[in-house]
Amino acid sequence: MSKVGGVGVPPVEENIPQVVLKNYGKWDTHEVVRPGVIKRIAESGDVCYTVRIAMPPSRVSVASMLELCDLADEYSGGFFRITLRNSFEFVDVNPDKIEELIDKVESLGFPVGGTKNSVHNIMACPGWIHCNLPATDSPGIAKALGDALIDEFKNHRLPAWLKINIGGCANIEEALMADIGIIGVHRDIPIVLEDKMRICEQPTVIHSCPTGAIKPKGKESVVISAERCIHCGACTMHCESILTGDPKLDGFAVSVGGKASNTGSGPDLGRVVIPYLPNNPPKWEEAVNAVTMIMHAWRKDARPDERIKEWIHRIGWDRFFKKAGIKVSIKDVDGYMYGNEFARSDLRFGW
Amino acid sequence: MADISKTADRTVKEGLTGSETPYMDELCKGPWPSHARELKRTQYPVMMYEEGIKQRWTQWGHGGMSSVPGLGSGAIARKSRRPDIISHSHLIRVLGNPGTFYKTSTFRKICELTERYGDGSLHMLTTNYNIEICGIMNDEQMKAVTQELNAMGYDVGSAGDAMRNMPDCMGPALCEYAVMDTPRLKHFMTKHFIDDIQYPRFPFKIKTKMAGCPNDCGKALLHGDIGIIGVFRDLPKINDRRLSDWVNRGGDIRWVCDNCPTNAMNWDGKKLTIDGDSCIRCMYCINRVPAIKPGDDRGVAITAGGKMKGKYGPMKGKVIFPFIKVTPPDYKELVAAYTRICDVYDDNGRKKERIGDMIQRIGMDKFLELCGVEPSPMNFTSPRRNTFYHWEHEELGGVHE
Repeated sequence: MSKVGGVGVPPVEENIPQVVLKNYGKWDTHEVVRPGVIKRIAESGDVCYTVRIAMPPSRVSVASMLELCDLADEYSGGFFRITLRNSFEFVDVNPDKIEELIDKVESLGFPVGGTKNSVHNIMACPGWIHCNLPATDSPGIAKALGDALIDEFKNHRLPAWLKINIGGCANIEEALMADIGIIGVHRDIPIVLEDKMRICEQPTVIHSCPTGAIKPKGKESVVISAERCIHCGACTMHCESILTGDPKLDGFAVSVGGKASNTGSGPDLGRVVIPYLPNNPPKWEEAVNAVTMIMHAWRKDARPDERIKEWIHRIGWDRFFKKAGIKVSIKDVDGYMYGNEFARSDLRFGW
Repeated sequence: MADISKTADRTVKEGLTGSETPYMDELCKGPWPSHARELKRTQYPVMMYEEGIKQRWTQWGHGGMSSVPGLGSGAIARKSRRPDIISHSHLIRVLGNPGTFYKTSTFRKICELTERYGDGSLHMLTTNYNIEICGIMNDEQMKAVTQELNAMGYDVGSAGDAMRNMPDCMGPALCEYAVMDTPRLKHFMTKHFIDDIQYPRFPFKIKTKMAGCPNDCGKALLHGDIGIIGVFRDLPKINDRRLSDWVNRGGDIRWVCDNCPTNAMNWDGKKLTIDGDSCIRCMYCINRVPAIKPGDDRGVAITAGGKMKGKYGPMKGKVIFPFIKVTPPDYKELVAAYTRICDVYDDNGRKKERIGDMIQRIGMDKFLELCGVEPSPMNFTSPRRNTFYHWEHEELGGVHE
């Protein structure tokens, strides 16, 4: 059998346009000439225009990618880039043809925007499209949010940028790293199909649990402790007779304040502020309401340049809950493992 | 083979007759690009998604990294809970390009492979910035698609308990802030560690992320099991003439000074000074003022332990090596440090325990020792507040003998 693999990735030079190669490492500054269009200026005076569009959450069809490839061939010399937020960027567009490109790409159904002080492209995991774990359908929520926030995507009207990530279960890293995150929440333990447990290796399943929540039940089945289960889905990887989720109980939580940059008060993961909202496809009103509520409170109150994390850092969590109109519940108090670090040990209240 | 095309034909018929998919039709409306519309343009079994929305429960079942003889990791199997619609649908992970730049001529070939072997839908991009070719039905096709990708210079991998693809930001290719050449480092690291990316041998996955500067667009600190982030040690460079030009054209330098997180900047109306004892190299002024650039004493910081999944919950990464010189073409120091962390993890991690959880279990002091790090204040935000040390026998001078 012939060996496959061992190739690695193509060299950098192979996939970048001439102007990028020529000015590699010698870029000087950039300006956003209009939402979605960035002009990058090199020390040599060369410029490179990029045009950014939103992409459908998670999956994209070959048909659509080929249409975008056609546009890239026509307007950007056949070069494009997928940004770290999964938006599609035409690289090195002829400045005279930018308007034409925007018209064409928008007529294909891809809005242009997502730069600077706007809602950036919304990231989502595959959710119900192709995964066994999700408690919620992240692409559906992303689509609903995108429809609701499209004007904020296409304009620079926010105090700073707003990144929204959606993860269908507690394993998806992306959600807590965004200004507003949505995380799928399983409220009940995985379902054990006892009559089908025979096909699974009982010891492997028990061993797979990171918190020791699974105990044997007889010789062939297992029982899961609700006290200990963290809904990570590790057991379902080893046994197809354990199913996560319950359509009547599943839903999602909303987190705020994630940020990667070292500016301001530094990088941090977001905090969960709404513990549970129900799944309500295909409109996802609860998700849209929660996100727009938080966004409007921030927008009304924040100073220029202030991302959600920095805003909360300035006003404090007590005022955040009041301004965002979110009711605090016992679920907001972290009782897991080292969570009591988040309990308050000062009297600097923001009444 | 005949079997597979039959399945595909049936799903297309079911999916595309409008009224059978009311929920997906609803999701096709509206201004934002719709995944439902995208799925309908492919051979994806749309009834799986439609039923998922209808029942509010995923219709997909058991899956994960699948072991295909002759192929490393990168093949992911997924069974269906609804054999009446489709029995299974696998996918293959293609390692993304450095800087995530693509050229239409090669990308069209990936599209063509997706049409030929898959269901015509791509996942652009995954959280590790791979491209997933979805809807592949059997092992032979997985192998065939990999061979064709290999011939194009592309590769698959990044699944199972292996090193995952190492996503990078665009770095110096298009960004003026980059202090480290991330695309070239990604190219080097992928070539260097390709066996570890394709053959899972670790206790659990190792996600490596790279970012060119402390702005950390690659989110290396937050979700990299190992993060490699460009840093500089000297002060930001100020071009005085350019700065006064910028101020004269309406640049608000006072605003920038006021917003410096450590109040390290002072503008006396003519000259800007940065206080070396206060500056934390956070990039704020560099992001805002074109006349301020990162310093010249450049290198990378290596962090470890960022993650979401696992026993101790979501964690930020921790600084292990605060500064390492970047020395292309062999990146000797960086590779040594990176390999050290991986080896310590390999030796000490328990099965299905991420690096972050392992550090929590064995203790940060122990981890730094194992990594051979000379501890410095760069490794903590504050020293400890308890005295529950573990003294080594040698440290006690043999009194306990």
